[in-house]
Amino acid sequence: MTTLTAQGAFAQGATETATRKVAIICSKGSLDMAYPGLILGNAARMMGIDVVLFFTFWGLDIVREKTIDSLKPGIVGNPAAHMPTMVAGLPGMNALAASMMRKQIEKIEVPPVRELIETLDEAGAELYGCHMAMDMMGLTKADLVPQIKEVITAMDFFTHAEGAQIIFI
Amino acid sequence: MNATAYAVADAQQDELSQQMDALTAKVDRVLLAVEQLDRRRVELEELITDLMPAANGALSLLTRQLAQLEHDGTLALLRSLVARAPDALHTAHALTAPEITSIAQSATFALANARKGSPPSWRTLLSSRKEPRIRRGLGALLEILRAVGSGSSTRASVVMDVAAAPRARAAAPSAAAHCATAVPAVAAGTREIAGVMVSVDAEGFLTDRGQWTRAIAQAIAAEAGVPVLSDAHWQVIDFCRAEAAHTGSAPGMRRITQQLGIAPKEMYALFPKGPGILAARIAGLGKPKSCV
Repeated sequence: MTTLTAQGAFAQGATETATRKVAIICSKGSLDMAYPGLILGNAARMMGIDVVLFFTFWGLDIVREKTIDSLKPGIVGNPAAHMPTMVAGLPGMNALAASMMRKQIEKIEVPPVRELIETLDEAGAELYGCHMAMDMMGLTKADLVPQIKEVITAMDFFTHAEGAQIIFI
Repeated sequence: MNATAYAVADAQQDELSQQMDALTAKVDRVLLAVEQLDRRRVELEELITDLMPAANGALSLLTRQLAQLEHDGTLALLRSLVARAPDALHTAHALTAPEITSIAQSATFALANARKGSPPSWRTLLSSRKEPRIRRGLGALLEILRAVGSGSSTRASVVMDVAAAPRARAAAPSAAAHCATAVPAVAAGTREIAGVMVSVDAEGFLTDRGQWTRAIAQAIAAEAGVPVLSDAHWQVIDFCRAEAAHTGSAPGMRRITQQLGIAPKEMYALFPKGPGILAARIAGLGKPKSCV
């Protein structure tokens, strides 16, 4: 009575998760753009998919000690901010939006950025910083959170991302 | 001799005690002032905490109203009015200037004509049209009319959207109902686990959590790379089942780790091939709805 398709899919699912891998490039450092990469990476790890996270350019703000706890959303010129640009540009609006967003994030039990980074590290995701962007911004590995495994070049990234599906955010 | 010495000493003592009294009074005053200051500070803090939500509310209200205005096009009208204000002022100024005679003449002409009951001649209109100030005034007028028009057209489209919405809403449930019947029909299946026939979905999750037994859990775990279920595993599985019975779906990993007080790392040690879904799968539940 066993239905072949169901069993086949199950078996296939089990073997597939063991070999799958994703590489996520985080290139934006605003609060709203930090979460997609981290949540996707974490979700992939929770499914047993291998994860490489590469932080480059503004994305480095997500893993910088100085900025990791104070990321702000970009509300000016963002149609999803649902407010007139002239209001979004008022002094303090971005900070207000940031605090409101943080509260909302907390309400739905999503951890803050630092905790997500720690969880990702504990989950075995590999976190890398971009060498060139760090040179450009005058940063060293000491400026980044300890979860950053290594600072690598673009070519190193492709070595680490071999066989992975690549997501650019 | 002694008596005078005593008198001097007494006088000195009196003076000293007076000074002491004065000092004490001063200290008392300072203490009082400090106390008052502290009270004010506390009051101020309370006021700020009280006002914060109100300020937030007011700001969000302002934002909402401005957004609505902009959506309606009213703001566009106001903005163009403001932009046109210098022109209007200029025209008004020109009208009150002494060089107005020609316009005034044509105006009286027009008025006289109007009184006579016949419209101003084409020539009068055309000649006045060439007048630069009239042209500027007309331009301003046209600009205002354009803004009013665009405002009303946005409003018209809003009205149309509102009119169209019920139809869209009416269409949605039927589509959802279609999906609800279509998806399980494709995905549903049955398979034998631990000698029992159970129904599973395409990804191998049990679809009926009532069919679950501990033996089934053991069998699924063995298939999913967890050969032996320890007490730590059972603690997680039991929590998942209790949570699902309570909320209707399997808990996300963050909820498990937070509620049971275990580190994410431990979850990865217990369920190496995906703790976010394996706990739910072994517990005979569907895929968790949570992303974290």
